[in-house]
Amino acid sequence: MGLRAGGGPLLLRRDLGLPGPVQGQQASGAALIGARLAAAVIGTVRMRAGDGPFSLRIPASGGGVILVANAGAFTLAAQEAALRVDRRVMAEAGAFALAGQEAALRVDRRVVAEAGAFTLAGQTADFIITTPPAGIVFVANAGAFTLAGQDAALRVDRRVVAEAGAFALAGQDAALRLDRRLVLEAGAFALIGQDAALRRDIRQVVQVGAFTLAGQEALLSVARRLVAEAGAFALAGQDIEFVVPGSGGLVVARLARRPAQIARPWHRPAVIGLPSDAPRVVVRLIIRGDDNL
Amino acid sequence: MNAAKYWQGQSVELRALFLSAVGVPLAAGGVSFRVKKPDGAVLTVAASPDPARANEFVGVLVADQAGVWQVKASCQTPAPAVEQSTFTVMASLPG
Repeated sequence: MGLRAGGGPLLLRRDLGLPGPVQGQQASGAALIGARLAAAVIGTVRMRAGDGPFSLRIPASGGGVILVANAGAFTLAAQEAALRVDRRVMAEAGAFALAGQEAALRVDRRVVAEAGAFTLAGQTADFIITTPPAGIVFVANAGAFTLAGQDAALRVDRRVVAEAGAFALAGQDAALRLDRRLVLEAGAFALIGQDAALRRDIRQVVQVGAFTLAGQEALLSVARRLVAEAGAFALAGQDIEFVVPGSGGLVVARLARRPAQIARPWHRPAVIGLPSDAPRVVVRLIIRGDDNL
Repeated sequence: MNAAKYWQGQSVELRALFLSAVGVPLAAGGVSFRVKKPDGAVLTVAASPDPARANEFVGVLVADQAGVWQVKASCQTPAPAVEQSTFTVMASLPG
């Protein structure tokens, strides 16, 4: 093995392992402080490295040589390593523009419509009941219906914008034929009740009985209310002629019959038989009208 | 006899005053008006005390029939008494 240290710039190999055996002659002196060479010992030689170039040659056949390197001063001049900059690229902040085509969203699946308010107002259909010979027929007149609603407030953040729309609901009046759609199936009904406990005593037939009414006779005061209506009295008789004897039948006086008539106003009640202690009441009746003739 | 005449459909007021034998008004009780219509129907007209006139009772009827109406006013207390009168209802306006 030969070891040679030459002047000039040194190349530092990144794969140089220190301490350890030197591999090859290219590993010249720089930074070999306290290095121990794993070479065969051929003797003991002390060397001092001075300025300038020097060379050390060790015969390949010599043995037992011990190389001891003292501390020395070394100047390391080297060239900057040519670093592989391409592996350490630092990317600064840049501006990026992403251009593309808008996604064709399937609106029908992503649109979320909030609840809206709808009002259906209509005119009540008038059912006309006619009674032909076949039976009762219900005829529905034409009705008018209007659907008014509030536009649904769609959630704009989903990128769907819905404009207000107009809706028209048109329909045809239903021709109701109740006589064909009403099908009544046979039904079974069970009426369960409790036998009424009839009160037989209420239904007893009352036979003819005898009743006796006992009481005090009512004291009617009819005598105080006697009202004498107008009456007509006729006096019947024969006229009396007074004749003076010897005068040839000269009538001196004649008592002629004059029918007497006693009339009492029917509205003047006659008070008959009033007790002396009963007060006498006189009624004064006045009749008035709002437009007396 | 009352000679009053009214048109058919008019309201006729019946008024009764109860006096003593010397002409002093009495507080009568059980007062009623009995009316006999021209067709013979008899009805009773309510007699109410007149708040404006003491011891006077008043009743109102509608003369709905033409002819002679008979009216009887009576009381029960202090002693039974009765008074009657008539009035005539004309069917329609003349000529």
